[in-house]
Amino acid sequence: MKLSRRKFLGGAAAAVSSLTLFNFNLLTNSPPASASDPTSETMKTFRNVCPRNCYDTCGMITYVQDGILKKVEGDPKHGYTNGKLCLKGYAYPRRVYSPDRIKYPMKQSPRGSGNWTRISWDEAMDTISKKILDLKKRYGSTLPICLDKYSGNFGIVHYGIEGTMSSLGYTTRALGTPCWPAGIDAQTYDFGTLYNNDPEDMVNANYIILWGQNAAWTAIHSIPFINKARERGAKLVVIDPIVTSTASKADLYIQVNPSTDGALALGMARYIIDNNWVDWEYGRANSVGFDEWVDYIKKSITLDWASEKTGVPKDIIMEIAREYATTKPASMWVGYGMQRHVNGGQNVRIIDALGVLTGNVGKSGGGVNYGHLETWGFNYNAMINPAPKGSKGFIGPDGKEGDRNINMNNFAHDVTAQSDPPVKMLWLACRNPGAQDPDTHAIEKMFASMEFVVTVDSFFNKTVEMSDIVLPATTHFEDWDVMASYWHYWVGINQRAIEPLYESKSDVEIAIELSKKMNKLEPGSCTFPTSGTPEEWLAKEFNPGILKMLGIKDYKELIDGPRKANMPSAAWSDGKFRTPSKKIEIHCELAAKNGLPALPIWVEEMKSPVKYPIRFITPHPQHALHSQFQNLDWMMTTNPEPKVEIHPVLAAQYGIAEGNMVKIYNDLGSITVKDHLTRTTSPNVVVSYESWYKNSNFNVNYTLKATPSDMGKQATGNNGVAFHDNFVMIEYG
Amino acid sequence: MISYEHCPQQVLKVNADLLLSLSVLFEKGGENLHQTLGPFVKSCAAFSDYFKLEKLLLSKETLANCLKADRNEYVLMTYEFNRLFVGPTTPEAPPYESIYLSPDHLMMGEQMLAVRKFYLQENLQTAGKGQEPDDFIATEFEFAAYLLSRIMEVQGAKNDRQIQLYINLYHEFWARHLSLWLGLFARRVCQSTRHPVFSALSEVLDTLTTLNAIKHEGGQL
Repeated sequence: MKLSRRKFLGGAAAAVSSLTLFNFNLLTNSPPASASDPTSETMKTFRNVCPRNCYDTCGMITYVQDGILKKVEGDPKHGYTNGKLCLKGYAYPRRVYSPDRIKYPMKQSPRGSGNWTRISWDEAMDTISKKILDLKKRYGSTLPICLDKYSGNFGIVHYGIEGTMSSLGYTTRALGTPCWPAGIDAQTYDFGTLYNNDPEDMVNANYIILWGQNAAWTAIHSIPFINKARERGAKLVVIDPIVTSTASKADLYIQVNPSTDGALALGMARYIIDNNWVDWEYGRANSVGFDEWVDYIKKSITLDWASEKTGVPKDIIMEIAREYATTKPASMWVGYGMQRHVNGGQNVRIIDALGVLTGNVGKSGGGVNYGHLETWGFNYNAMINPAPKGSKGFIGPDGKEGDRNINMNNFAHDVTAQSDPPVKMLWLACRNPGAQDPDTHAIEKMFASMEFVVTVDSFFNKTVEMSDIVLPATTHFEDWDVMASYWHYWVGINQRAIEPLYESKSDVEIAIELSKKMNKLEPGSCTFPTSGTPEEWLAKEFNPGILKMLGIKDYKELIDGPRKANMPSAAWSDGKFRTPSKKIEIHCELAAKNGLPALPIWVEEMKSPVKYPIRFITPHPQHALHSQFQNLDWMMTTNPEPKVEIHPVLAAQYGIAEGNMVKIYNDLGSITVKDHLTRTTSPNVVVSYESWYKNSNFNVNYTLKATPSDMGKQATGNNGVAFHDNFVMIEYG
Repeated sequence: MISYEHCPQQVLKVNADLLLSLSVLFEKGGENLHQTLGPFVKSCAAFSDYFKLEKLLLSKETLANCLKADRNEYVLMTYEFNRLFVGPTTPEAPPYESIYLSPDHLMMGEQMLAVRKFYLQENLQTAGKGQEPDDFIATEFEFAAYLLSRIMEVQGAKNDRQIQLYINLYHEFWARHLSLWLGLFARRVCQSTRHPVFSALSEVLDTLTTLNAIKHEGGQL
């Protein structure tokens, strides 16, 4: 390597001396003006939006001085997040300036050894490009390359990751969404798509049910709207298998047996029908199959059955049924945890129908609220690139040539199962399957079978550990982007507040570099454009439709503040449902065609096997998002180690005391973790919060089978994962 | 006590050479140790010999042996360098001042800005401003070496005002920055490393810190 040096004198020295020159290597002349005025520049502010997989997608004001991110605060112009952030948001400077950030492209030899070498971007791109071309030559296509990207950064420009692949040719893609697909399909069958009321509209509710929703941890900015409704007299009911922080604030908490939420809703429906609190006019006018479902309930559902099934006393079922049906408008918010079961989608469909039964759909202060994608109508310009000429793809069942889709929710199995051609290379971005996918042992084995693994990330995690090359990703403060929410109606711009640190690059910048190298090695082998500033790439994401929805003429207006989409506050208030019948499909032929019940009837929950009688629920942590944030110093200080929560009665059965190390295991694997005895869970359920702890191999997914939930395939390509249908045995560890 | 004005050029030179070789070693990284270790070992030997530092005898010997390492051993040194200082795993001893001295132990703390102001006094800035923090150990070493080179130059020109200016600047820079964190850094390297070359390096850094502190107290470089 040539060790080049710059020879010159420092400015002050240059003025007084002409003797020897100093060999500078890292320092260079600064503009004279900066030397004469070395005082700090005034604080600048920028607009940013948290891009994480979270309901709140917070608007942020970022304070920058001397090129350094000093602090972040909530954006007061953002009507939903309203000038406040969660702990994760306030911790962002600690994430940006963590010494743990991946700084440079690095190569591991061999994979998994921990032997890392720093390489230049040029060498990284050269190595990757040559591997792609090699695979293309050997297999006649780029199908041996598999992309797994999901929710690490939901910025619209980040869909350039998919664009990176499409510009190379037809590739293998991990298709689906692990988090919420069963519920999406449920609402797709019922209403035509998922579409929730504006969460700010909850202030108009007179009765609120948070069903499997721990907003105090996962959507804190919704709480003020709920509280405003409560100040007016609204009652808050929380239904959850766990006494969550949200439950502790409720007027009424109902501990339901996991996966029996549909039975509870059916019991409520029976009591509402028996007392004729049904909104017959709304139901019959706006839905198909309404009376058919009412008949089913009359014939098949009893309150005694619902009570026994759910573990909820009959008088409580009657109480919430009466209150929900008669205290209008009544809002229901369906959480994602409750659909992570083999009957999860069906349970959501039943709850949807309960909303229709009482006429709470399409009403301000009402709704069966799950999520929406109404404000996501961008161009996805970075995502769409034509395959290079002559590319060969996978011939799908419809005879069309294209990418080969495999199941994101059974990733290890599906990657390994491909043979024509096999998958040989993985590209991972915004994704950490090593920590988040089910069956971690299978993931490890699958990674080990690859020829080549590239991961783009900001921190060293389990997936990076299993990679050949890691490329340093910018944080959202170092990039331009635009963010929409899947919960509230606001859209905000993300400005580049600070220059990218070290040698980090955004996904689009990486694609540009890769394209340059690919085309140098083999002209025409990559179609990704090789020019454009980050802001220019952002600008290309806007179209007249999205600008109109936001009431702006130019994306730059978002620099003045986030904009709320011009939509009615009550979803479906126009009655224009997007189902084939244009009505709410209580009876859904599409569901029947897909092998599901046409009606929202009861479907049995998964029963615990004799060998593993304890359900192991692994919800979202309080101060982390999947494998993001928990590794930061603040989080590690306040929550230094993982724990499993066990009911004292269950613990006593197994001779386990507070603070013991407990082995949690089943046929798939085991984890050993310290316990905390608590009555916030029930005696047949143990709870541990999924997260990636720094320098720890703790991972709840070592015990989790890739059991599919019942729905998801219709709208998202694949069914979800029944994360909460995981059964284990415990012992003093 | 030797006055700064009459500090022998040889003292300045062995100090500057050592600082510069350390700067290059850290800046070029583990992948170039086969090129940067030699100058470091040489300058370290000169430094040790000049000041008759018995404490460094073993380190000198270790470094000399490491210099003769075969290609495979250099590869192992590279991995160890990255494990200690670069990543992608959490670096055991991040080579940035802010990590050790800022209340939050984060990058880009007030120390980084303070260092930047020192550079600006000499019309200097980091070449990759905004990307590599100014308080990177290699940059601080380079600046310290530069100041020593300036002292040598102005001594040659017999410019007393300039001599005093650069001596003060050097002392101030050392006292406010390197002396405050280099020892902490060296200790962390010593505690974390699994390779003798970095144990020796930490010993040199520690000695350098101690010696500079003594010399500053004694009024000579």
